[in-house]
Amino acid sequence: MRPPEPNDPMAPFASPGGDILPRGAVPPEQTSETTLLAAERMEALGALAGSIAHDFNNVLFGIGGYAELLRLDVPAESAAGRNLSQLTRAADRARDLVAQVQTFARLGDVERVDVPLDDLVARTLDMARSQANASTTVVSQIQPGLEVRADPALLARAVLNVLTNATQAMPHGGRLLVTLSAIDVDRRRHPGLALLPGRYAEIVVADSGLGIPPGMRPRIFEPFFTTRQVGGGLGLGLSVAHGVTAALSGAIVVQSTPRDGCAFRILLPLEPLPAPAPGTYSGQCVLLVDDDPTALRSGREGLELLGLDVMARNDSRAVLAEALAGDLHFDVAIVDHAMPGIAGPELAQRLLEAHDAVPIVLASGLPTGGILAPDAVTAVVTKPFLPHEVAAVVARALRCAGSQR
Amino acid sequence: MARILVIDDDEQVRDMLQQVYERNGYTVETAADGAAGLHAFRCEPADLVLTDLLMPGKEGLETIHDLLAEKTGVKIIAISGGGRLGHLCHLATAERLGADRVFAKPIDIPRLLAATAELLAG
Repeated sequence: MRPPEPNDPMAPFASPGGDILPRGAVPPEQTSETTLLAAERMEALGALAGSIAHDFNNVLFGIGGYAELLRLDVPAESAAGRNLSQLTRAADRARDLVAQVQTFARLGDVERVDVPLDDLVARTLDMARSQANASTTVVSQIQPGLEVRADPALLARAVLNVLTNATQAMPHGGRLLVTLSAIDVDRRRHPGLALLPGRYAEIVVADSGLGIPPGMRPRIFEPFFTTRQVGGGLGLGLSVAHGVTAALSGAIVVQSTPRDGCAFRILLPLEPLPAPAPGTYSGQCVLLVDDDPTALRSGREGLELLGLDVMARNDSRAVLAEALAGDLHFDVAIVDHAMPGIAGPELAQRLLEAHDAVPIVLASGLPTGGILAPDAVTAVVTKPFLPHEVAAVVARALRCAGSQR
Repeated sequence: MARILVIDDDEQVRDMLQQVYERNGYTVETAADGAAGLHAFRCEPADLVLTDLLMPGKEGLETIHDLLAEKTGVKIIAISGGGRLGHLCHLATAERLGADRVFAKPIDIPRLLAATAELLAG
């Protein structure tokens, strides 16, 4: 990902266990505007990746299937048989690549269990250490007892990818610092981080490589973005990490000072998103605004199951007109990011002006975890959201709103 | 001899699956979308339907729903290449709707054949 660093590794960290990053600091270059642009770019890339992945899976199914048919007619030990095996191997490799792209685009189904993070970080660190230059100094500080609900293999992949990125930034050795701890995220100390307030596990991976040039920083999570030489990797590692953390309602952010190494922070919610039981609410009203009828329907179904009243609207201009006229009463709003008429961020801002302190959730088409949300937005959810996911986000948004009153 | 109906909008996938199943002794009919598939099914019911989910025209979930409404006891395998344009792959939904097995493309052929044989034996 980054250019090689010199033989004399700098020591960017004060001391092991010392603060690597000012807690709550948001990298100064991330203004709301640039981050929204970056988010839109990620959405477009996600859509592109999803579309390509779907078509590639069909093509690969054809290749693998026809190869399987040929096997029936070709002796396995013949030259043709061996070449067929190679063809199948190539198709399998392509399948793995597509699977990674789908992970970025968050298009797969995942099974979630309680994953002990201390063990996961220790294991992935062992793997990364084996790839690192022998003169790399590794310092780790791992808090035991933290668990998140996740797909263990996907999460390990995400963490390993970030670790690998760090070791590759230090081909001649250096210092790798890995910490795992719990932190409280709130809107005041973490302005603009698109995370709901609450307790998060924070995995920091900091290296003493050359750092990431500021111009490249907005793009490092994009799929196929790499600064490596041809053949040095496809540039999917950090995209996968981004997709995995976004799917867990977490975030991954990077901080880097040129020539002074770089630090990735992975934030994962520790309090399991409450999966509210049917009938948890009575009478609270959700305003759901989306121009996509499918999203409106599935969103409404999940929320109504919880006992919430749902006002589903597909016309953002009409919604704003109603709100300004004072005809719109709701406890929480979920607005789509990209809509004809008034886009989500602007609608969120205008709704907030009309309804003081109401929680507003921005629903975005593709991975946006870790982006800066406009100030008006309480949280960002990634579409297409499963009913229980959006229900959990609404539950937390309502709880946060309640605690502020 | 068990009869299998393959519904997929990808011509190569249809042709390949037809050959795979025929080489394994099944009788195979194919259709390029859900509407054609349902029509074929109503003309001559299959023992097992393998259907793609994301198809132009009548898509897979609706097709599964309609096939099950016929109450013939047909076995259903749903397959999908994953989502496009941000839509989740609907394999889990297909399973909830009543598909007996679901597979994400590209599918390992021996696994597909094993699942097919198991469903038709059951």
